[in-house]
Amino acid sequence: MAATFVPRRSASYARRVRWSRHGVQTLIVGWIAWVVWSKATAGPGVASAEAFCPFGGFETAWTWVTTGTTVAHVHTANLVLAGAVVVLALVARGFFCGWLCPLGSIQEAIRASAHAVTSRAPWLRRTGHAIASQMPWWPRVDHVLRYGRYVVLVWAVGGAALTGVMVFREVDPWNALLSVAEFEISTAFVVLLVVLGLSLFIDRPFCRYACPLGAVQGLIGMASPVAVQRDATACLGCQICNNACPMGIEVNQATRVTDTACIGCLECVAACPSQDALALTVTFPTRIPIRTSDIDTSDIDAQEGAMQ
Amino acid sequence: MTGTESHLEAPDQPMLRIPKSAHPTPTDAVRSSRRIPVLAFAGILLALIAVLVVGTQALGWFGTTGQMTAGSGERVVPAAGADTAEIKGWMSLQQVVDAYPVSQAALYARFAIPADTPLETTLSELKESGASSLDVPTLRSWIDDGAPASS
Ligand code: SF4
Repeated sequence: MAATFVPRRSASYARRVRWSRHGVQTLIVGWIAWVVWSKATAGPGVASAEAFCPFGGFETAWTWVTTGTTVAHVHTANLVLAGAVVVLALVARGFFCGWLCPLGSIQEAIRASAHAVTSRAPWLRRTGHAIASQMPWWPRVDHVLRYGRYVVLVWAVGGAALTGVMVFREVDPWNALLSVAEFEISTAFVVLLVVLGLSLFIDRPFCRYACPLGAVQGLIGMASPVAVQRDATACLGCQICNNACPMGIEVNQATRVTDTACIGCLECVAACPSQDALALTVTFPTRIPIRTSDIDTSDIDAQEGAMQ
Repeated sequence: MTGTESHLEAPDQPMLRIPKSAHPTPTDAVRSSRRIPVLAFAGILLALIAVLVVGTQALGWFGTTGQMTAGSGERVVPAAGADTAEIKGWMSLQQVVDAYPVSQAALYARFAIPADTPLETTLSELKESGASSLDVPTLRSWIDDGAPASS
């Protein structure tokens, strides 16, 4: 491709996108913390923070349809939120995960803190790179582990349907986080510690490998017409987008980022230095058969040649 | 996005020069698509959720405590012999006595509930009134530890 100029994305745009999302995440985490605190101090009658997890709605769906009741620990709020997540996924894929899920936000915050430390300690960064270079097999392992969330989804929803009990609750780190004020050492609490520990080294480990709600959204989101779209004629091939993606999606390889792991955080769009290379778009059913490799750039090449 | 908007000369807007060495992966087929203003889109989605939550709350469908039955939206009272974890603040004293092996007299005596307290009083009301030392976690462990089923 001939060398040419493309508009630079303004830094203020990136800041606006990032801080809007972080603002929403902070509000949600703060609100959940307040609910947990109220529950711990005021006791019964106060809303349980568990009631605000949409996954409970999916776990109880079968019982709800067949018996008209919810399984224990699930409230109608869970069902309403599950419906909202279905609508959100149809419209905007993993928007819930990227903007609203408190567990995802907490993992992100831990990873950001780890980054902040390593950026101030070059020896730590170098050690990290040295360790990573000894693990060339990691991308393959990561790829296989990503199927884990579908396994968890089948187990959690199937188990609840068959037994009438929320089998996933026993290992659910979200449930453990909500009970943290009770200092109860349980399997879920151990899982939570592992997730938070891994978050120091891996972006959103629970979201990547084990979250059944993320799996549901990924599957439903396949029908969404909204996605980040890349334009190769404005792309620098710099791969900054790949590094920015917390879910490890290779954005620079895609035309439309339709990967089921996409959480709609728009970090790739905010990070991309080229204003026209990445954008959030909605597609229409018609396809215009243009290939970037087919675009005639001969006039551009000629003009550029004349300039040099 | 049609993919033909690059420029040769740098106008006022800051520009980036695509290096000749850059080999971005070609985009296969560009669908007919429209850009969406990111922040407006996020704002609309957040407003949608807020409307849904507030709307269902107003309709009484957004229950955050207790199991519910479909349609009527009534809470499911635990069956006799159920796990004590099912004891909730919305339950009445009568429902506790019916569902668990505990007598009314023992319950009233253990938690210093005034004798004239009606059995229809809920556990939350009792706690809020301050008339009794009853709280749900203590009640659960007391029953688990073998509360007297008769006085
Ligand atoms: S960040 Fe990604 S999309 Fe943007 S210019 Fe670099 S490679 Fe292309």
